[in-house]
Amino acid sequence: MIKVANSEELEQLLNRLSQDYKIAAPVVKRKGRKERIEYEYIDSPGEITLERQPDSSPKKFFLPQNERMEVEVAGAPGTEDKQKTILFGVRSCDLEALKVLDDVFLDDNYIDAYYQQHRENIIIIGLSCSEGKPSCFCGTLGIDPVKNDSAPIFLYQRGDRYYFKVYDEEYAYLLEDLPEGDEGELAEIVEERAASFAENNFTLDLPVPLPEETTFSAPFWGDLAEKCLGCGVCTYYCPTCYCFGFFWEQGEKSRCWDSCMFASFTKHASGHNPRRSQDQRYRQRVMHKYSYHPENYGRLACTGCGRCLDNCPVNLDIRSVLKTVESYLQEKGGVKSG
Amino acid sequence: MENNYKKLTEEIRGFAFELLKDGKVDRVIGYGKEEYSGEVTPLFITAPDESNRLIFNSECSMLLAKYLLNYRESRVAIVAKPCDTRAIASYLAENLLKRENLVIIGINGCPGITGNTACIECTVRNPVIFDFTAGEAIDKAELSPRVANELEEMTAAERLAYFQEEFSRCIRCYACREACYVCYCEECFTDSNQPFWVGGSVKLKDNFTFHLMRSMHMAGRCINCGACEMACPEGIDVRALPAKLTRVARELYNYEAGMDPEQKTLLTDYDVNDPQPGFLD
Amino acid sequence: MAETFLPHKAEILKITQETGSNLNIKTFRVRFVDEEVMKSFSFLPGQFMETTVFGVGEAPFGFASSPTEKDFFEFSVKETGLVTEALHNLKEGDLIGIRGPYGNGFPVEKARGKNIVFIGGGIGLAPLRSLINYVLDEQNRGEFGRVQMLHAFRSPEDTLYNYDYSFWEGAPNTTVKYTIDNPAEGWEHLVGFPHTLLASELECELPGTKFFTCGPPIMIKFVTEELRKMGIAPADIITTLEMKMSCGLGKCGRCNIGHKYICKDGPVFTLEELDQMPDEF
Repeated sequence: MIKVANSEELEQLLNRLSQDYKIAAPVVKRKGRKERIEYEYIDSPGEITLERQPDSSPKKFFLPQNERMEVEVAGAPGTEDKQKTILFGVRSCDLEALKVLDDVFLDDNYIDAYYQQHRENIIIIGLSCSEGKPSCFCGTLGIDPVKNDSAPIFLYQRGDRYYFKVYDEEYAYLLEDLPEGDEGELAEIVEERAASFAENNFTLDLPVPLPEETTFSAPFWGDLAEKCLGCGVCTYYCPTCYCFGFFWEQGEKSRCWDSCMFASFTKHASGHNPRRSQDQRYRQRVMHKYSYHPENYGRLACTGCGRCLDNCPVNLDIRSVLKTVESYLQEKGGVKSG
Repeated sequence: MENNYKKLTEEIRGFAFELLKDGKVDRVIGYGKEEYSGEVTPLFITAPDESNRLIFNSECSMLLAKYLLNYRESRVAIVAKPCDTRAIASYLAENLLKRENLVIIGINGCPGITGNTACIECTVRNPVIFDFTAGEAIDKAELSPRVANELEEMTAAERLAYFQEEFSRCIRCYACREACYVCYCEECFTDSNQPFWVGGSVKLKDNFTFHLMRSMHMAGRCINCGACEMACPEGIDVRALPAKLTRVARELYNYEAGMDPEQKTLLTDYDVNDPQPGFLD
Repeated sequence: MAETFLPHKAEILKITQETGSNLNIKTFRVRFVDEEVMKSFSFLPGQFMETTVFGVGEAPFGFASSPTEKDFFEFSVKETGLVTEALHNLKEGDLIGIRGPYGNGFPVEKARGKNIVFIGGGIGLAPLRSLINYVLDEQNRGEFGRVQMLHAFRSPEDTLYNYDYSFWEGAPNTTVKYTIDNPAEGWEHLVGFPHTLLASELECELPGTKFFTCGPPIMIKFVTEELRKMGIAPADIITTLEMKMSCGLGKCGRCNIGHKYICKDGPVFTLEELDQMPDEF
C-alpha cells in the first residue's frame, strides 16, 4: 500500500500522531562551532530535516549511552515506558544496523530485556536516500540506500511529495488520514535514484566472513593503524558498535557504551592486557565487523554509513583498510572464507 | 611574504626524498590524503618514492608531534607546524625524545589551520626548533594575535552556564585526550578505579570532572595548539580551560611551554619570589 | 527469561584466609538468600559467576567448590583491584550479589572412565579444585581412573586449600604432589616450575589420560607446550582462560577472541581449540 502527502499534510499527520506518540526525527542542532543533524525528540514537525544523513546514528534510542538497570538485585521491574515513540526518517544504513543489534540483543539464546523493551516501544518510519555523501558506501556492501523493507513504513520524499510505502499493514492505521498513492510514481522515483547511486565507484571483492586466521595474522595491521589515536569516536558514532560496560552509582547499576579502541577495555586488574597495542585494537574492530560477527550471525557488522570516517580526528578511512585486506587476500590467493 | 601551499608541499617532498634516499631517517611523518575521501590524514612513509604523496595545506590540522612517542628508538623526520615544534621542544625538555633521532622539517610562517580557533591566538608562526624549514619565515611584528576574552568578560554564572552547555554534549570518546600532545600518561585518571576519579556516566558531573581534571593537568604544559578542539566531534570548546591556564602561566610567571628544549617545565621550576595568588591568603 | 544482568543476593557464610603473607587470597563460602534460587541453582566445574559488591562493582570468579555440595558454593579471591579489595573487606554474614553460572565448564563427561592429571598454579587451582572434589567425591570416584596432581605455588606460605590435602591424598588411586618456585626451609616437597617436573614426577604416558591445567598465563603456556612436546594429543590438554569477562553472555565484547567469546564459548578450552584461535589471551 502507498499513501501520499504534501508537506502540509505531513505536518498535520505528525501533529496528530504526536498526541499519541513521542516523535523523534532528525533535527538541526547547533553544537558550538559545528552544525549537526541529530535524531532528537521533537516538539513540532517544523524542526525535522530530511536533508542528509544525520551525523549520529539512532542507536542511542535502542542502546542508550547510559542506561540505569534500576536496582542491583534480580527480579526488579524495568521502567515501562508507556508512551510509544515513532522514530521518523531512518535510512537504510541505520535500518540494516538495527539488524546487527537484533542479532546480538535478541539472540535465540539470550534476550536483552532493556533492548527488547526499547525495540518494542519504537515504531520506525524509514527514509529513502536521495543521494550519498563522499564517505558512505552501503551499496558496496549490498545494502540498497533507496528502498528497504525492514521498517514497517518507508518514506520517499521528492520535492513537496511524500510517498509512504507500507510494508507492515499492522501499522497502516498510523497513516489512515492520507490518500492512497500511485505505485507507478514511486517506481519511477526508485528507478531514478537507483541510477544515481549506480555511479558509486568503490568496489570490494572480499570473502565474508574474512578468513579469521589469515586476516588476523596479516602483516599490515601495524601500518594501517599507525595513525589511529585510540579514541572512541568511530565506535561511538558507529550504528552497529554495541560493546558495553557496567558502572555503579550510589548503589545502582548502569550500563554504558564502551569501546574496543580503549586500552582499558580489555585490561585486567593484574595489569595484563591481551590487546596491549593500538594496532591490535584497531584490528579487533575491523575483524569483529567483517569476520567475527559474520561468522557468528551470518551478517556483516558494518553498513557503510561512513560516520567512522566523518568523525575520525585523523580521517582514518575504513575503505582504504578494506582495500588493503582485499589485495592481501587476493595475493594469498584461493583463501576460503570462514 | 606569502607562502603558498604548492611551494611548501614541494619543499617538504624534497627534504623527505633526500632524507630517505640518504638513509638519514627510517621514516617520515607528514600529511597526505586518504585515497577515497581525499581528506587530509597523517602519512607515514619509509621509501623515497613515496615522498610525492606528502602534502601541506590549510587542512593539516593534526598535531603530528604526538606520533613521535611511538618511535622513540628509531630515526624519524617529521613535518612540523610551529605548534608541533613546540610540542617537540616540550617532549625534549621532559626527556621523552632523543634529539639525535629526530629530523624536524619546520613550516615557516604558518598561515593557520582552517577551523582551528587557536590559530587566531597564535604568537608563534615560525618553528621554535628545526633542522630544515619549508616556506618563508614570518616577521613577528606582522602578527596581530587576538586573545579570546569573551569568556573573561562573562560573569561567573554566565561562564558556568556556558561550560554546562558545552560539557553536556561530551560523549566521553576521549578524542581530545588522544589528540593532545600532553596526554601521554600510561594510564589516564579516567581509567583508574583505585583511586576512583570519574564515573562511567556521561552525566554533567562526570563530564565536568573529566574536563576540569584534564585541564588542571595541562597547567604550564598546554601550548594552545587547538588539537583537542579540532578532534572533538561534538564541537565542544575543549580548549577554553587549558588555554586559560596557559594565559595565567604567561601573566604570572612569564612562562610559555614549548619555546625551548632546554627550558625547565613550569612546575619543576620554583622561585621563592614566584607570585602565589590565592595561596594561603 | 529476558536477561537483566542483575544478580541475586547471597550471604557470605564463611571466609577462609588461604594465604596472606605474600599474596592475599581468601575463599568465600556463600549461599543465595532466596531458598528457591538456591534450590534451582546448579553449575559445572569450570564455569564462573559474576560477583557484585554492592555499590562498588562486579568481577568474574570461577567456582572453587564441587557441585556435589548442595548447601553452598565457594570461590577464591586474590586481592588485586577495586572489587577484589572490597570483597576482602567484607565479613561473614554480609550480602553480595551473584549471577551465573556462565561459560561451558570442564568436559566432565569426556573425562569419565579416563585417567586424569591436574596441574594447578597458585589461584589457578581454584577452578581445578571444583573438579578435583567432584571427581574424588565418594559417589563419583569409581567413574574415573587414576588421578594424579601436581600443584605449584610461589612459596610454602602461598599454598591453597591445605584443609583439602588429607582428603585428596587419602583418596583411592590418587597421588598428589606439591612444588614451589624456589627452595625454602622446612619444605619437604618438590621445587621448580611445574613444566620442568612433568616428565619426572607424573606418569603422563598412561593411555587415555586427560590433562587439566590452570594457573597464570605464562605457566599455562609452558605446561601445555611441554605436554604437547611429550606427545600428548592437544585434544586431551584442557585449560581455562581468564579474560576481563563482564556480561557473561558473549555480548559486551571484552573477552572476544576471534569469533569466540571466552565467557560463553569458554572459559574452558582444549589446546586443540586454542591452536585454532588468534593469539590474543
